[in-house]
Amino acid sequence: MSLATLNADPVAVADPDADTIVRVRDAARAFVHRKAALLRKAGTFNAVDGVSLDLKKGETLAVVGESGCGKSTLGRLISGLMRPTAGSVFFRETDFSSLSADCWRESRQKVQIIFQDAAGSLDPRLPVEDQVREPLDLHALGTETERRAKVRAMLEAVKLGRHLWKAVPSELSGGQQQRVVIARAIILEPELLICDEPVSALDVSIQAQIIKLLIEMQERLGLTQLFISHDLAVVRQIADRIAVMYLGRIVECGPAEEVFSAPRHPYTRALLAAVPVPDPAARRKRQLLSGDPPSPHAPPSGCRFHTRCPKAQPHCSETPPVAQTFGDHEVSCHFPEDAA
Amino acid sequence: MTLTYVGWKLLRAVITMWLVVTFVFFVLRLTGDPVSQLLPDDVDQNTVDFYRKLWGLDKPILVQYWNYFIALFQGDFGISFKDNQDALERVLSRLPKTILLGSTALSFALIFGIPLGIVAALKKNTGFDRFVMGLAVFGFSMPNFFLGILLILLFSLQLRVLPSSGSDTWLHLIMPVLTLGTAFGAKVARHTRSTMVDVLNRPYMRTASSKGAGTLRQLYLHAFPNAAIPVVTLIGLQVGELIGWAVVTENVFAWPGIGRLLTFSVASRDLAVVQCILMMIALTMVMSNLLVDLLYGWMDPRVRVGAGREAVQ
Amino acid sequence: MTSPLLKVDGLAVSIAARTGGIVEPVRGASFSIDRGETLALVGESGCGKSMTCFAISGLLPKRGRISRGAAVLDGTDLTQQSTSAMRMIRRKDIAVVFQDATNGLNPVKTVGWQIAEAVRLREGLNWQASKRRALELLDRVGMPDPKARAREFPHQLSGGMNQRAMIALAVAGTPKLLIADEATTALDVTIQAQILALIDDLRREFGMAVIFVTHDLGLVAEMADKVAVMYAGRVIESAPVSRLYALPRHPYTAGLLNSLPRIDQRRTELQVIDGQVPPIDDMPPGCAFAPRCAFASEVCRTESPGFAAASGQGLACHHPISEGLS
Repeated sequence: MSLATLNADPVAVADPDADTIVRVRDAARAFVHRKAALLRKAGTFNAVDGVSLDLKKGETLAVVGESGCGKSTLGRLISGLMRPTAGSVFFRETDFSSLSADCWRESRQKVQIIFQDAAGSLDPRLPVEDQVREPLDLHALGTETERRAKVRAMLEAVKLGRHLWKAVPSELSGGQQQRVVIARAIILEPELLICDEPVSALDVSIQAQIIKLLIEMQERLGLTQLFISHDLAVVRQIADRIAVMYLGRIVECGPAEEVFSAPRHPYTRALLAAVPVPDPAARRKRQLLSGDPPSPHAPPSGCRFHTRCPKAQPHCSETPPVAQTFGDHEVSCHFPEDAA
Repeated sequence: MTLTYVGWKLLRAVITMWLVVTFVFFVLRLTGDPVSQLLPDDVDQNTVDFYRKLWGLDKPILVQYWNYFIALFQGDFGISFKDNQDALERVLSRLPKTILLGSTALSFALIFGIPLGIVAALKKNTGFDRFVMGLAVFGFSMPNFFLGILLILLFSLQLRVLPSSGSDTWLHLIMPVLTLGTAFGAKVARHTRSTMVDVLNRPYMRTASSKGAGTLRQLYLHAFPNAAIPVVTLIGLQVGELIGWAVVTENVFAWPGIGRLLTFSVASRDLAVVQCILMMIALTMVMSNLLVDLLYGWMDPRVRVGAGREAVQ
Repeated sequence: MTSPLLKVDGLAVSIAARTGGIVEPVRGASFSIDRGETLALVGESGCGKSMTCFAISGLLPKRGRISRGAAVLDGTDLTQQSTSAMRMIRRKDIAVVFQDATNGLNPVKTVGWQIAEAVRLREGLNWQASKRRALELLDRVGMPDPKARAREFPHQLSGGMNQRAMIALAVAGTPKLLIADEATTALDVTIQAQILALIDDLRREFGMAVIFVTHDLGLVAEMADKVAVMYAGRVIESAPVSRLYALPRHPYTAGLLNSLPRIDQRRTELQVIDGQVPPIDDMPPGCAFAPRCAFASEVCRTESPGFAAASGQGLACHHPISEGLS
């Protein structure tokens, strides 16, 4: 992966069985939701509560779920920005739960993350050209001329008009800001790019531009992507595999097309059914979940979804479900749906 | 608003008071010999020694301190050096005048400050708003005593309509109240305006309007209950300043309250009286802070009932 | 043919900018809606859709005014009414549900009180009766355990519950027109589905007309009978929903539909509309979409296309897409 490949023809996606670059095993991350007082310990809860998954080189894994499911926290665990309070997160052979400051710094060349708030991720006073260059300066990569060339190539690759290179972020639109953020993230040619709701704050017509850009960058650089989003329509356009989260746990994980066309977990079914389709002829039968999602501070017993599940049995409230595998497709449910 | 919450506040209040009294105790004794302050210059040494013994000032300072606290717990605040009267009694006899002045000034400040602030907010950026706010800046920038003296010059000496000292009739009350209340009222007006402006821009005001609520209803039932919360906090925290200004005001107008007594007593090192007054002031401040805490908690449901109740299914 | 409940014609809104000068967030909105119908007012951020609805309901900010056009609701021109007349209309005829319900409710009053206030203003009942009716309404909008919820404050309830409360106070008094201004945008998708179903049920029960203001074209396809698409302050196309999706005639509408990520299909090639919306204080002469339009010609850049309305459809374009063009 080098500068030359940026403008060359797209590389074929690597063989999915080849290389597992991220291994997450029973990871959990606790947060305090009630401060400690005189005679009381702090009340904690697990935003991520026992998650295991693998990321293979070159693939795009989407993590989806509604607010409070823990997907953003999972993203931070995998990027190394947070340490798990239990379990392990491995990037290749590096254990992210116990990194020294130097190792962590070095790992930034391999793992990058971009967020929803592009303007907030950028320095409001520096011209964008300098901000895209900063990672190269920080890691002391290449000579002065090489760095300038790389920055130019990067800004062209993300299709940011030349006249904007010396602008400051406030002079750019939301979509343009996000392009700068992407350029800055991939200028180090990382192996893994984590995107946490990268297009949610953008207008619909701009979303398409940015999604297209991400797909393009991934193809050209052979990036592995972890794509976190609540927007399933966006996810469908970009994901190879998809993991559905609910209250800190993964309830379903499998190849994207399979999960979209034949979801096996009742929550996934309801989630997919709830997303409106822009086609008046396709008005679907309603499959409404009742009630509000339980608070992550006090998750239900047994299967966490049992309080809203249309198929819930008494057994579901007693025992947490074990993951069942159907080929490449994993479901955590006592009564998974058949392949429709 | 738990018991522990209130309990901690009370404990802090007590500690504060203890610190204040201790500090004053030592400062007064270490900054000059009270005996020589009080007695005339030409008195002989025997008399000096006699009074020193009488007032317990011959003992080491720490012993004095200890004795003082023992006496305190028995309700004995000491004797005034001036006239041998019980210090507490002396202070309490002057208290009503100060309370009269203080409460009238506070009412004046609120009665004028709050409505002016509200109207200024409603007419934001108009001439009225700028005028009122300009007046407010003037009001709280002007030194308290200066205003008092100006008023005396104008109303007592030039126009001869108001008395310049004493406290016998309600006419005597007018200028002191104006002096004491203006700065405070100005602050209240400014603060009210800014909280109102903030509240008027909140989304729930638009909801109220969309229900068809009239302007008065929006103001009275929606805007003001929200805007009042920070204003109440401000008032409570300003009580301390008010006390300080009251001392100055009383001296300017020879108002026979605690402030004037304090000035005399410090100058003459009437230790027991000074300590008594300071404890009272400390108590007042501490109580008002506590009251503000409790009031704030009661007024704002987000504090009273607590945020983040679990979402029910 | 019965006349529509609301007919908006060439509505324009101007706002006096603080620095002097005037901006026009709405430059020409025309659409109509019948009793019991659902109209979607669609567009991206800044297109003026919310401002149009504020103009109709008399909720414009202090510096805003309706500068042109008419909006006739059941024979009354809303653009010509006094403030107090509009207030009456907001009590009886038009109700609005806003986007962020938790912040849209007064934090120091209980939920029950706020709904009871709406009942009192809208239905004119005394306070006791209003409180009882508020509980009925809370139940009708599907609030779990209405009695307990009524005594609670907005910060204690979830976003979905607060949105139900907002809906309850909006439908008190059974308004003729309900405007849902991005009412579900801030909600999770499963809650959104519940709220949309609720609004639809209420619409049928009370015979209200509903205007959905949204940027979500999926929601529009699901809920709307008619659609009006806005761009840079103007309604540029309006049509029945199936026609709009099947055969969009304005290049912007077509571009928008083609660039949509869809959950029911993976697109091999996501089409893109290059460029972005012109800033509100720097509109190009002629058609505002011309700089981004593949079909733009000289006339598009100089002359602003008028809105041509006929038999329930409307279009503002010099080169509409017809069957023949690809």
